[in-house]
Amino acid sequence: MVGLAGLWAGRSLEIGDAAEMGPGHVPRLLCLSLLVLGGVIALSGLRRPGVRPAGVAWRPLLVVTLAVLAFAAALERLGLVVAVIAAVVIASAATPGARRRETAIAALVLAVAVVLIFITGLGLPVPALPRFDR
Amino acid sequence: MDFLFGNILHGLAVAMTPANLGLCLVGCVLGTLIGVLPGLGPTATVAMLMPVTFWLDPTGALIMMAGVFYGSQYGGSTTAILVNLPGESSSVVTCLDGYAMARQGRAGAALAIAALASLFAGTVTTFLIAWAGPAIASVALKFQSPDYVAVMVLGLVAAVVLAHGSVLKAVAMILLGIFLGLIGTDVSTSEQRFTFGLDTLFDGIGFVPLSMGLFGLAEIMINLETGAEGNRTRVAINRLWPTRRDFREATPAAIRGTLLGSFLGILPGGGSTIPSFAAYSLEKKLARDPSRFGRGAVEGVAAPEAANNAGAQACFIPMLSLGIPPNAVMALMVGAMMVHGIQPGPQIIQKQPDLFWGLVASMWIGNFMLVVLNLPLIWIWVKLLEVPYRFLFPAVIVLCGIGVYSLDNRLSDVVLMAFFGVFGYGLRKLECEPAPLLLGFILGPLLEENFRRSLMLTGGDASVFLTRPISLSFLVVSALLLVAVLLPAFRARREQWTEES
Repeated sequence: MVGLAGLWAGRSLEIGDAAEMGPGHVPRLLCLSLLVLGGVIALSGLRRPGVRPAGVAWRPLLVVTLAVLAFAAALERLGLVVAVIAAVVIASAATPGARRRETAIAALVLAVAVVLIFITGLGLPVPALPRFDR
Repeated sequence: MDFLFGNILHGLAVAMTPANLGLCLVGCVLGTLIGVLPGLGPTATVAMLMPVTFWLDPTGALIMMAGVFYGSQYGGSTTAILVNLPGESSSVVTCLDGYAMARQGRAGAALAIAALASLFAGTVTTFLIAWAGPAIASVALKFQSPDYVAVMVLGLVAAVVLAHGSVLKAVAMILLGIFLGLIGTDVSTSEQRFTFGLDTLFDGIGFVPLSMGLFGLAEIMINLETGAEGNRTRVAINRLWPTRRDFREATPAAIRGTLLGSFLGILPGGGSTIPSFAAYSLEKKLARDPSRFGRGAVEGVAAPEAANNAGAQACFIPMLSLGIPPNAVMALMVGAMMVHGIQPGPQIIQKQPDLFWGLVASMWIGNFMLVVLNLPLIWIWVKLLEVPYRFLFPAVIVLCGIGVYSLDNRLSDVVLMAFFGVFGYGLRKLECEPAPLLLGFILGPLLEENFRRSLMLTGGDASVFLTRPISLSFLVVSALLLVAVLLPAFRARREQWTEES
């Protein structure tokens, strides 16, 4: 609790400093209250030592974020199909029990379904496959 | 009464068009689907549907999203009864007696009772919305800026009261939400605020990337961590129809559950989870032999199922008549309206009669669809339970990605969503609820606008909030609620309620 509560307070502080702006009446009010609250939460965290926050599971956190970012990176340049496959393959790394063949099948099925729904069906203006002419 | 009847007929006409009927069905099917599957909630699903609704007309969009919400209440009970795993948080209590009934070989009867109790509650609440919505709205039309500020404060305070865990953290989340809502170009001075010079932030943080990140992605991360698979011991379903004795016991329980659910649902901060808990404990108190509960008491299935469905529908009342969303799903629906350029508020019923009455009528139709979907077709959903989560979550990630992108064709929104996914995960680790944040985010800009307008009209005199009777009474209620929540007796009770879920 302690370290994380401190983080809370720190983050509120940063926001508070940024609030010195023109039409910032309401934001400043908010930031001040956030600051106070962050402090109170931090203090109550300090008063009850021993309650440690649950550990962060880095693997799902990183993998899911990476999958989304890979999707974003691939989407416009390499097309929807590549983006979907990349996202699914990366995402499958999040579970220890992933099997390669399953992942491949899932990625392909999903890619086809998504192209049909979003490009054929809804007319989303993204390429389905990589464009080599540019 | 004639007026009510005519309007419902009008609504039925709107809801019965093939397109809207289809969307209602899609919503209900999707709702049942995600209700059955643990680890995928209505909030995340409605968030994912947001971009799709862009292609629909607003009425159809809302009909579909509403279907997902109340549909998930039906689906959630199926999982609860058959595998003792709550598909949704609102069906946690249904596990107790529903699964007990199933183990006694009465799974079919439990499912039927749950579905019929929900149908009854859905029907009653539909008429409640039709009756109370316009009544509240006509009062609300007299509201001025200070009154709006007060109503929003009440809504936010109530969200704090009903949030899980620490009150302080919930308040902090709301403030943070309001703050995030203010990022972007200031409405009255068109100055940039907190954009750090990033183009993406000029129009403010998009509602869709925020909600999808906080609810969709963050939920996946948490599920992957805790392992949503669980062990699934299935029980066979035999005959569906309950006995006459079941009906006799379940009927009064369903009626009480409905009343309690609609009451708790209307309150700001309401939803479907708390009503189901409240209804269960009420039944237990009223029962002549409380020891039957937990061992397959019919009332223990009927009352919470009626209550959660009533709550799920009753919370549309403040959303539609005041424009104040009482929970995260309603906040998403308000967001969907704004995407379509409809300003939520009391004027909706008059200006958009098709939308209001169509939506109300569709709920009634949807409830019948759901009974069909959940009783004769139950075996499909049972099969679905066997789909492992490892197939499910990559699909959700991809759909979130495409969905966010398709809204504005902006890659930066996808990146923003990824950011809020991490952010939401962090919040959950800190035991902060993201739902109050979303409410603050939606209400923040409205609150600021009305707050400034009120002060502008009075030349900076803040006493206007205390001299207008409407705003004063709302503020007094908010203050009382806040005091109550800090009182030890109430605190213990609230913890008991929210901890159980």
